[in-house]
Amino acid sequence: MKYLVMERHESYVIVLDENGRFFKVANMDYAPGQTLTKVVPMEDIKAKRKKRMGFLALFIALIAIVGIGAWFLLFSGVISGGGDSRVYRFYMGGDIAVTCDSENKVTKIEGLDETGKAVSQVDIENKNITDISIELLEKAYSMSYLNEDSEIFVAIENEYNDDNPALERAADSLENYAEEKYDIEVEKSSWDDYLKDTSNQKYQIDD
Amino acid sequence: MADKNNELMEMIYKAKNNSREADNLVRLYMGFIKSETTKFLGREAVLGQDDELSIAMIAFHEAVLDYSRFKGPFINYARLHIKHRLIDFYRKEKRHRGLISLDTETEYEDSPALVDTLEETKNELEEFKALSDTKAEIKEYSTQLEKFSVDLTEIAENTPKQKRTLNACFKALEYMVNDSRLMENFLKTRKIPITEISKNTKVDKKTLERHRKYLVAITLAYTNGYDIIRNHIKGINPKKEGENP
Repeated sequence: MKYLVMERHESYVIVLDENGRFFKVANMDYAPGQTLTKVVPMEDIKAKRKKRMGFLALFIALIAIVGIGAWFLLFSGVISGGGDSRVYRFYMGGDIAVTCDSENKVTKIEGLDETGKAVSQVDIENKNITDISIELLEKAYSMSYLNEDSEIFVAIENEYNDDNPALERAADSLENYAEEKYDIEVEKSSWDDYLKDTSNQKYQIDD
Repeated sequence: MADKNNELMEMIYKAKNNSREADNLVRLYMGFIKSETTKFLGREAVLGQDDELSIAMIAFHEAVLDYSRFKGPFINYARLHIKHRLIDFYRKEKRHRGLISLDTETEYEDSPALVDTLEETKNELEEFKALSDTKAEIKEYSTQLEKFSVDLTEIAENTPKQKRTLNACFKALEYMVNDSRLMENFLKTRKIPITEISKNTKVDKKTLERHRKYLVAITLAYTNGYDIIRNHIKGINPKKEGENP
Protein backbone atom coordinates (compact mmCIF):
# COMPACT_ATOMS: atom_id res chain seq x y z
CA MET A 1 0.00 0.00 0.00
CA LYS A 2 1.26 3.47 -0.89
CA TYR A 3 0.43 6.59 1.07
CA LEU A 4 0.55 10.10 -0.33
CA VAL A 5 1.46 12.78 2.23
CA MET A 6 -1.20 15.49 1.98
CA GLU A 7 -0.56 17.80 4.92
CA ARG A 8 2.10 18.17 7.55
CA HIS A 9 1.49 18.96 11.21
CA GLU A 10 3.85 19.09 14.15
CA SER A 11 3.35 15.52 15.36
CA TYR A 12 1.46 13.92 12.49
CA VAL A 13 0.88 14.07 8.74
CA ILE A 14 -2.33 13.41 6.83
CA VAL A 15 -1.88 10.71 4.22
CA LEU A 16 -4.16 9.40 1.50
CA ASP A 17 -3.94 5.67 0.80
CA GLU A 18 -4.61 3.95 -2.51
CA ASN A 19 -8.09 2.97 -1.33
CA GLY A 20 -9.10 6.60 -0.97
CA ARG A 21 -8.87 6.77 2.82
CA PHE A 22 -7.32 9.69 4.70
CA PHE A 23 -5.29 8.90 7.85
CA LYS A 24 -3.27 10.67 10.48
CA VAL A 25 0.14 9.03 10.82
CA ALA A 26 3.30 9.79 12.81
CA ASN A 27 5.36 12.54 11.21
CA MET A 28 8.80 11.06 10.65
CA ASP A 29 10.04 14.21 9.01
CA TYR A 30 7.74 13.78 6.01
CA ALA A 31 6.75 16.51 3.57
CA PRO A 32 3.59 16.93 1.45
CA GLY A 33 3.86 15.21 -1.92
CA GLN A 34 6.05 12.39 -0.59
CA THR A 35 4.90 8.82 -1.20
CA LEU A 36 5.35 6.41 1.70
CA THR A 37 5.15 2.64 1.87
CA LYS A 38 5.21 2.24 5.65
CA VAL A 39 3.42 4.42 8.17
CA VAL A 40 2.70 4.43 11.90
CA PRO A 41 -0.99 5.38 12.20
CA MET A 42 -2.19 7.64 14.96
CA GLU A 43 -4.47 5.96 17.49
CA ASP A 44 -8.17 6.47 16.76
CA ILE A 45 -9.04 8.06 20.10
CA LYS A 46 -12.77 8.22 19.36
CA ALA A 47 -12.90 4.52 18.52
CA LYS A 48 -10.73 3.72 21.54
CA ARG A 49 -13.04 5.73 23.79
CA LYS A 50 -16.09 4.08 22.23
CA LYS A 51 -14.56 0.66 22.81
CA ARG A 52 -13.70 1.63 26.39
CA MET A 53 -17.27 2.83 26.96
CA GLY A 54 -18.51 -0.42 25.43
CA PHE A 55 -16.43 -2.43 27.88
CA LEU A 56 -17.61 -0.23 30.74
CA ALA A 57 -21.24 -0.69 29.70
CA LEU A 58 -20.67 -4.43 29.39
CA PHE A 59 -19.05 -4.50 32.83
CA ILE A 60 -21.93 -2.54 34.40
CA ALA A 61 -24.46 -4.78 32.63
CA LEU A 62 -22.60 -7.84 33.89
CA ILE A 63 -22.56 -6.51 37.46
CA ALA A 64 -26.28 -5.72 37.19
CA ILE A 65 -27.05 -9.20 35.84
CA VAL A 66 -25.00 -10.84 38.60
CA GLY A 67 -26.69 -8.59 41.19
CA ILE A 68 -30.18 -9.31 39.91
CA GLY A 69 -29.36 -13.01 39.61
CA ALA A 70 -28.02 -13.14 43.16
CA TRP A 71 -31.03 -11.25 44.46
CA PHE A 72 -33.38 -13.57 42.59
CA LEU A 73 -31.62 -16.69 43.81
CA LEU A 74 -31.47 -15.50 47.40
CA PHE A 75 -35.00 -14.21 47.69
CA SER A 76 -36.73 -16.80 45.57
CA GLY A 77 -35.29 -19.57 47.67
CA VAL A 78 -33.34 -21.42 44.98
CA ILE A 79 -30.24 -21.06 47.12
CA SER A 80 -30.78 -22.81 50.37
CA GLY A 81 -27.50 -22.17 52.19
CA GLY A 82 -28.57 -20.79 55.54
CA GLY A 83 -31.73 -19.22 54.12
CA ASP A 84 -35.03 -20.52 52.90
CA SER A 85 -34.66 -24.27 52.49
CA ARG A 86 -38.10 -24.81 50.90
CA VAL A 87 -38.68 -27.98 52.82
CA TYR A 88 -42.06 -27.77 54.52
CA ARG A 89 -42.99 -29.92 57.48
CA PHE A 90 -46.55 -30.95 58.31
CA TYR A 91 -47.73 -33.19 61.02
CA MET A 92 -51.12 -34.71 60.09
CA GLY A 93 -51.25 -37.81 62.19
CA GLY A 94 -47.80 -38.48 60.72
CA ASP A 95 -44.70 -36.45 59.95
CA ILE A 96 -44.47 -35.32 56.32
CA ALA A 97 -41.78 -33.29 54.54
CA VAL A 98 -42.80 -31.47 51.35
CA THR A 99 -40.11 -29.98 49.07
CA CYS A 100 -41.03 -27.10 46.75
CA ASP A 101 -39.26 -25.16 44.03
CA SER A 102 -38.86 -21.37 43.99
CA GLU A 103 -42.41 -20.93 42.69
CA ASN A 104 -43.85 -23.05 45.50
CA LYS A 105 -44.55 -25.96 43.17
CA VAL A 106 -44.20 -29.30 44.95
CA THR A 107 -41.26 -31.33 43.68
CA LYS A 108 -41.05 -34.04 46.33
CA ILE A 109 -43.11 -35.43 49.18
CA GLU A 110 -41.80 -37.77 51.80
CA GLY A 111 -43.30 -39.46 54.83
CA LEU A 112 -40.92 -39.38 57.77
CA ASP A 113 -42.71 -41.99 59.84
CA GLU A 114 -45.05 -44.88 59.10
CA THR A 115 -48.25 -42.78 59.12
CA GLY A 116 -46.54 -40.01 57.19
CA LYS A 117 -45.50 -42.53 54.54
CA ALA A 118 -49.09 -43.72 54.15
CA VAL A 119 -50.57 -40.22 53.99
CA SER A 120 -47.94 -38.89 51.58
CA GLN A 121 -48.96 -41.25 48.76
CA VAL A 122 -50.50 -38.43 46.70
CA ASP A 123 -49.99 -37.16 43.17
CA ILE A 124 -47.82 -34.04 43.28
CA GLU A 125 -47.87 -33.05 39.61
CA ASN A 126 -48.63 -29.35 39.02
CA LYS A 127 -49.56 -28.77 42.65
CA ASN A 128 -48.46 -25.95 44.90
CA ILE A 129 -47.90 -26.06 48.63
CA THR A 130 -51.47 -24.93 49.47
CA ASP A 131 -53.05 -27.57 47.17
CA ILE A 132 -50.92 -30.34 48.58
CA SER A 133 -51.46 -29.39 52.23
CA ILE A 134 -55.24 -29.57 51.72
CA GLU A 135 -54.93 -32.85 49.81
CA LEU A 136 -52.83 -34.31 52.62
CA LEU A 137 -55.43 -33.21 55.14
CA GLU A 138 -58.22 -34.88 53.12
CA LYS A 139 -56.21 -38.07 52.77
CA ALA A 140 -55.21 -38.23 56.44
CA TYR A 141 -58.81 -37.63 57.43
CA SER A 142 -60.15 -40.28 55.01
CA MET A 143 -57.59 -42.77 56.35
CA SER A 144 -58.77 -41.93 59.90
CA TYR A 145 -55.40 -40.59 60.99
CA LEU A 146 -57.17 -37.32 61.80
CA ASN A 147 -60.45 -36.59 63.57
CA GLU A 148 -62.10 -33.62 65.31
CA ASP A 149 -59.87 -34.06 68.35
CA SER A 150 -56.67 -34.12 66.34
CA GLU A 151 -54.28 -31.25 65.87
CA ILE A 152 -52.27 -30.43 62.77
CA PHE A 153 -48.83 -28.94 63.20
CA VAL A 154 -47.15 -26.80 60.58
CA ALA A 155 -43.63 -25.35 60.88
CA ILE A 156 -43.68 -21.82 59.50
CA GLU A 157 -39.90 -21.67 59.76
CA ASN A 158 -37.25 -23.76 58.09
CA GLU A 159 -34.53 -25.64 59.90
CA TYR A 160 -32.40 -22.45 60.02
CA ASN A 161 -35.21 -20.71 61.92
CA ASP A 162 -35.96 -18.37 59.00
CA ASP A 163 -39.52 -17.21 58.42
CA ASN A 164 -41.18 -18.28 55.24
CA PRO A 165 -44.06 -16.03 54.12
CA ALA A 166 -45.18 -18.52 51.44
CA LEU A 167 -45.48 -21.22 54.02
CA GLU A 168 -47.29 -18.91 56.38
CA ARG A 169 -49.85 -18.20 53.64
CA ALA A 170 -50.23 -21.94 52.94
CA ALA A 171 -50.66 -22.59 56.67
CA ASP A 172 -53.37 -19.90 56.89
CA SER A 173 -55.31 -21.54 54.02
CA LEU A 174 -54.93 -24.93 55.62
CA GLU A 175 -56.04 -23.55 58.98
CA ASN A 176 -59.21 -22.01 57.51
CA TYR A 177 -60.03 -25.15 55.55
CA ALA A 178 -59.36 -27.60 58.36
CA GLU A 179 -61.27 -25.61 60.94
CA GLU A 180 -64.25 -24.91 58.72
CA LYS A 181 -64.62 -28.37 57.23
CA TYR A 182 -63.45 -30.76 59.95
CA ASP A 183 -63.17 -28.56 63.02
CA ILE A 184 -59.52 -29.53 63.30
CA GLU A 185 -57.10 -27.03 64.82
CA VAL A 186 -53.92 -26.09 63.02
CA GLU A 187 -50.93 -25.13 65.16
CA LYS A 188 -48.46 -22.90 63.35
CA SER A 189 -45.14 -23.02 65.10
CA SER A 190 -41.45 -22.35 64.85
CA TRP A 191 -39.13 -25.12 63.69
CA ASP A 192 -38.02 -25.96 67.20
CA ASP A 193 -41.56 -25.94 68.58
CA TYR A 194 -42.69 -28.09 65.68
CA LEU A 195 -40.13 -30.73 66.58
CA LYS A 196 -41.10 -30.51 70.23
CA ASP A 197 -44.85 -30.68 69.49
CA THR A 198 -44.58 -33.53 67.01
CA SER A 199 -42.35 -35.60 69.29
CA ASN A 200 -45.00 -35.13 72.01
CA GLN A 201 -47.60 -36.34 69.52
CA LYS A 202 -45.53 -39.39 68.73
CA TYR A 203 -45.08 -40.02 72.40
CA GLN A 204 -48.84 -39.81 72.88
CA ILE A 205 -49.55 -41.98 69.88
CA ASP A 206 -46.99 -44.56 70.89
CA ASP A 207 -48.55 -44.60 74.31
CA MET B 1 1.06 26.52 40.36
CA ALA B 2 -2.72 26.26 40.15
CA ASP B 3 -2.75 29.00 37.49
CA LYS B 4 -0.16 27.12 35.46
CA ASN B 5 -2.23 23.95 35.72
CA ASN B 6 -5.39 25.77 34.66
CA GLU B 7 -3.54 27.28 31.74
CA LEU B 8 -2.36 23.82 30.64
CA MET B 9 -5.88 22.42 31.01
CA GLU B 10 -7.24 25.22 28.87
CA MET B 11 -4.63 24.53 26.21
CA ILE B 12 -5.37 20.79 26.26
CA TYR B 13 -9.10 21.27 25.86
CA LYS B 14 -8.56 23.76 23.02
CA ALA B 15 -6.11 21.36 21.32
CA LYS B 16 -8.66 18.56 21.37
CA ASN B 17 -10.72 20.27 18.69
CA ASN B 18 -8.19 22.44 16.94
CA SER B 19 -5.21 21.02 15.05
CA ARG B 20 -3.32 24.34 15.19
CA GLU B 21 -3.66 24.54 18.96
CA ALA B 22 -2.51 20.92 19.13
CA ASP B 23 0.56 21.75 17.03
CA ASN B 24 1.35 24.66 19.37
CA LEU B 25 1.06 22.45 22.43
CA VAL B 26 3.37 19.82 20.90
CA ARG B 27 5.90 22.58 20.11
CA LEU B 28 5.62 23.97 23.63
CA TYR B 29 6.23 20.58 25.23
CA MET B 30 8.93 19.47 22.80
CA GLY B 31 11.53 19.57 25.61
CA PHE B 32 9.46 17.17 27.70
CA ILE B 33 8.82 14.86 24.71
CA LYS B 34 12.52 14.84 23.84
CA SER B 35 13.57 14.11 27.42
CA GLU B 36 11.14 11.17 27.64
CA THR B 37 12.51 9.77 24.36
CA THR B 38 16.09 10.30 25.52
CA LYS B 39 15.27 8.40 28.73
CA PHE B 40 13.83 5.54 26.65
CA LEU B 41 16.72 5.41 24.18
CA GLY B 42 19.44 5.87 26.77
CA ARG B 43 21.03 8.51 24.53
CA GLU B 44 20.05 11.92 23.24
CA ALA B 45 17.10 11.80 20.82
CA VAL B 46 17.60 13.82 17.64
CA LEU B 47 14.69 15.28 15.67
CA GLY B 48 14.71 14.15 12.04
CA GLN B 49 16.97 11.21 12.86
CA ASP B 50 15.24 9.17 15.50
CA ASP B 51 11.88 7.65 14.57
CA GLU B 52 11.31 7.16 18.29
CA LEU B 53 11.09 10.94 18.75
CA SER B 54 8.38 11.13 16.06
CA ILE B 55 6.52 8.32 17.82
CA ALA B 56 6.82 10.16 21.14
CA MET B 57 5.43 13.32 19.50
CA ILE B 58 2.38 11.58 18.12
CA ALA B 59 1.95 9.77 21.47
CA PHE B 60 1.96 13.15 23.22
CA HIS B 61 -0.70 14.36 20.79
CA GLU B 62 -2.78 11.20 21.40
CA ALA B 63 -2.46 11.81 25.15
CA VAL B 64 -3.83 15.33 24.64
CA LEU B 65 -6.82 13.98 22.69
CA ASP B 66 -7.55 11.21 25.17
CA TYR B 67 -6.94 13.16 28.37
CA SER B 68 -9.63 14.09 30.87
CA ARG B 69 -9.32 15.62 34.34
CA PHE B 70 -10.29 12.29 35.90
CA LYS B 71 -7.03 10.76 34.68
CA GLY B 72 -4.86 12.69 37.13
CA PRO B 73 -2.06 15.13 36.26
CA PHE B 74 -1.64 15.45 32.49
CA ILE B 75 2.15 15.22 32.51
CA ASN B 76 2.11 11.84 34.27
CA TYR B 77 -0.55 10.59 31.89
CA ALA B 78 1.37 11.79 28.82
CA ARG B 79 4.63 10.29 30.17
CA LEU B 80 2.99 6.90 30.57
CA HIS B 81 1.33 7.03 27.16
CA ILE B 82 4.62 7.99 25.46
CA LYS B 83 6.40 5.13 27.21
CA HIS B 84 3.76 2.57 26.18
CA ARG B 85 3.74 3.81 22.59
CA LEU B 86 7.55 3.64 22.39
CA ILE B 87 7.59 0.10 23.79
CA ASP B 88 4.91 -0.88 21.27
CA PHE B 89 6.89 0.69 18.41
CA TYR B 90 10.10 -0.97 19.58
CA ARG B 91 8.38 -4.39 19.62
CA LYS B 92 6.97 -3.93 16.12
CA GLU B 93 10.30 -2.73 14.79
CA LYS B 94 12.04 -5.75 16.32
CA ARG B 95 10.30 -7.94 13.73
CA HIS B 96 12.13 -6.13 10.95
CA ARG B 97 15.54 -6.27 12.59
CA GLY B 98 16.76 -9.04 10.25
CA LEU B 99 16.63 -6.61 7.34
CA ILE B 100 19.77 -4.70 6.39
CA SER B 101 19.60 -0.97 5.86
CA LEU B 102 20.63 0.30 2.45
CA ASP B 103 22.95 2.70 4.28
CA THR B 104 24.91 -0.18 5.84
CA GLU B 105 28.58 0.05 5.04
CA THR B 106 30.32 -3.02 3.64
CA GLU B 107 33.15 -4.75 5.50
CA TYR B 108 35.85 -3.15 3.33
CA GLU B 109 36.69 0.39 4.31
CA ASP B 110 37.06 1.70 0.79
CA SER B 111 33.91 0.03 -0.53
CA PRO B 112 30.77 2.11 -0.97
CA ALA B 113 27.60 1.67 1.15
CA LEU B 114 24.98 -0.76 -0.15
CA VAL B 115 22.77 2.07 -1.38
CA ASP B 116 25.60 3.34 -3.55
CA THR B 117 25.96 -0.02 -5.24
CA LEU B 118 22.38 0.07 -6.56
CA GLU B 119 21.82 1.10 -10.12
CA GLU B 120 20.36 4.55 -10.58
CA THR B 121 16.96 3.81 -12.07
CA LYS B 122 15.27 7.17 -11.99
CA ASN B 123 16.20 10.52 -13.16
CA GLU B 124 16.60 12.81 -10.15
CA LEU B 125 15.43 15.81 -12.09
CA GLU B 126 12.27 13.99 -13.16
CA GLU B 127 11.65 12.94 -9.59
CA PHE B 128 12.10 16.48 -8.33
CA LYS B 129 9.66 17.76 -10.94
CA ALA B 130 7.11 15.08 -10.09
CA LEU B 131 7.38 15.95 -6.40
CA SER B 132 6.95 19.66 -7.12
CA ASP B 133 3.88 18.95 -9.28
CA THR B 134 2.39 16.74 -6.56
CA LYS B 135 3.03 19.40 -3.92
CA ALA B 136 1.40 22.06 -6.08
CA GLU B 137 -1.63 19.88 -6.76
CA ILE B 138 -2.05 19.03 -3.08
CA LYS B 139 -1.74 22.72 -2.16
CA GLU B 140 -4.43 23.64 -4.68
CA TYR B 141 -6.61 20.77 -3.44
CA SER B 142 -6.27 21.96 0.20
CA THR B 143 -7.09 25.54 -0.82
CA GLN B 144 -10.21 24.35 -2.62
CA LEU B 145 -11.23 22.23 0.38
CA GLU B 146 -11.03 25.33 2.58
CA LYS B 147 -13.67 26.92 0.34
CA PHE B 148 -15.91 23.97 1.24
CA SER B 149 -15.22 24.76 4.92
CA VAL B 150 -13.42 21.49 5.58
CA ASP B 151 -9.77 20.75 6.33
CA LEU B 152 -7.76 17.57 5.89
CA THR B 153 -7.59 16.82 9.62
CA GLU B 154 -11.40 16.84 9.80
CA ILE B 155 -11.56 14.68 6.68
CA ALA B 156 -9.13 12.16 8.18
CA GLU B 157 -11.37 11.98 11.25
CA ASN B 158 -14.46 11.65 9.03
CA THR B 159 -13.08 8.92 6.75
CA PRO B 160 -15.16 5.72 7.01
CA LYS B 161 -13.39 2.99 8.95
CA GLN B 162 -15.51 0.12 7.71
CA LYS B 163 -15.24 -1.24 4.20
CA ARG B 164 -19.02 -1.33 3.82
CA THR B 165 -19.38 2.37 4.66
CA LEU B 166 -16.47 3.21 2.39
CA ASN B 167 -18.16 1.34 -0.46
CA ALA B 168 -21.40 3.23 0.22
CA CYS B 169 -19.48 6.51 -0.15
CA PHE B 170 -17.91 5.27 -3.40
CA LYS B 171 -21.37 4.43 -4.71
CA ALA B 172 -22.42 8.02 -3.98
CA LEU B 173 -19.24 9.27 -5.66
CA GLU B 174 -19.95 7.19 -8.76
CA TYR B 175 -23.45 8.65 -8.96
CA MET B 176 -22.02 12.18 -8.75
CA VAL B 177 -19.26 11.54 -11.30
CA ASN B 178 -21.81 10.23 -13.82
CA ASP B 179 -23.92 13.36 -13.69
CA SER B 180 -22.12 16.47 -14.99
CA ARG B 181 -25.01 18.65 -13.79
CA LEU B 182 -24.49 17.40 -10.22
CA MET B 183 -20.73 17.96 -10.43
CA GLU B 184 -21.25 21.53 -11.68
CA ASN B 185 -23.75 22.21 -8.91
CA PHE B 186 -21.34 20.73 -6.39
CA LEU B 187 -18.64 23.20 -7.39
CA LYS B 188 -21.10 26.07 -7.54
CA THR B 189 -23.08 25.46 -4.34
CA ARG B 190 -20.31 23.57 -2.48
CA LYS B 191 -22.93 21.13 -1.28
CA ILE B 192 -23.44 17.39 -1.73
CA PRO B 193 -27.05 16.59 -2.79
CA ILE B 194 -27.39 13.88 -0.15
CA THR B 195 -31.17 13.37 -0.48
CA GLU B 196 -30.96 12.91 -4.25
CA ILE B 197 -27.99 10.55 -4.02
CA SER B 198 -29.62 8.51 -1.29
CA LYS B 199 -32.86 8.25 -3.28
CA ASN B 200 -31.15 7.10 -6.46
CA THR B 201 -28.40 4.90 -5.06
CA LYS B 202 -30.37 3.40 -2.14
CA VAL B 203 -27.48 4.32 0.16
CA ASP B 204 -28.72 5.19 3.64
CA LYS B 205 -29.08 8.96 4.01
CA LYS B 206 -27.68 8.92 7.53
CA THR B 207 -24.52 7.17 6.33
CA LEU B 208 -23.97 9.87 3.73
CA GLU B 209 -24.71 12.67 6.18
CA ARG B 210 -22.32 11.18 8.73
CA HIS B 211 -19.52 11.16 6.16
CA ARG B 212 -20.37 14.38 4.38
CA LYS B 213 -16.90 15.88 4.84
CA TYR B 214 -15.24 12.78 3.42
CA LEU B 215 -17.67 12.82 0.47
CA VAL B 216 -16.78 16.45 -0.23
CA ALA B 217 -13.06 15.60 -0.24
CA ILE B 218 -13.33 12.56 -2.46
CA THR B 219 -15.78 14.20 -4.89
CA LEU B 220 -13.53 17.25 -5.18
CA ALA B 221 -10.67 14.96 -6.16
CA TYR B 222 -12.80 13.82 -9.13
CA THR B 223 -13.34 17.33 -10.47
CA ASN B 224 -10.89 18.67 -13.02
CA GLY B 225 -7.25 19.23 -12.20
CA TYR B 226 -6.40 16.57 -9.65
CA ASP B 227 -4.89 13.88 -11.88
CA ILE B 228 -2.04 13.01 -9.52
CA ILE B 229 -4.35 12.47 -6.55
CA ARG B 230 -6.80 10.49 -8.71
CA ASN B 231 -4.02 8.32 -10.13
CA HIS B 232 -2.84 7.60 -6.62
CA ILE B 233 -6.26 6.32 -5.55
CA LYS B 234 -6.28 3.02 -7.37
CA GLY B 235 -8.79 1.41 -5.03
CA ILE B 236 -11.60 3.71 -6.23
CA ASN B 237 -12.67 3.43 -9.80
CA PRO B 238 -15.96 5.25 -10.34
CA LYS B 239 -17.11 4.11 -13.77
CA LYS B 240 -18.54 6.68 -16.07
CA GLU B 241 -21.56 5.43 -17.98
CA GLY B 242 -20.54 3.96 -21.32
CA GLU B 243 -16.98 3.29 -20.11
CA ASN B 244 -15.61 -0.23 -20.44
CA PRO B 245 -15.01 -1.96 -17.10
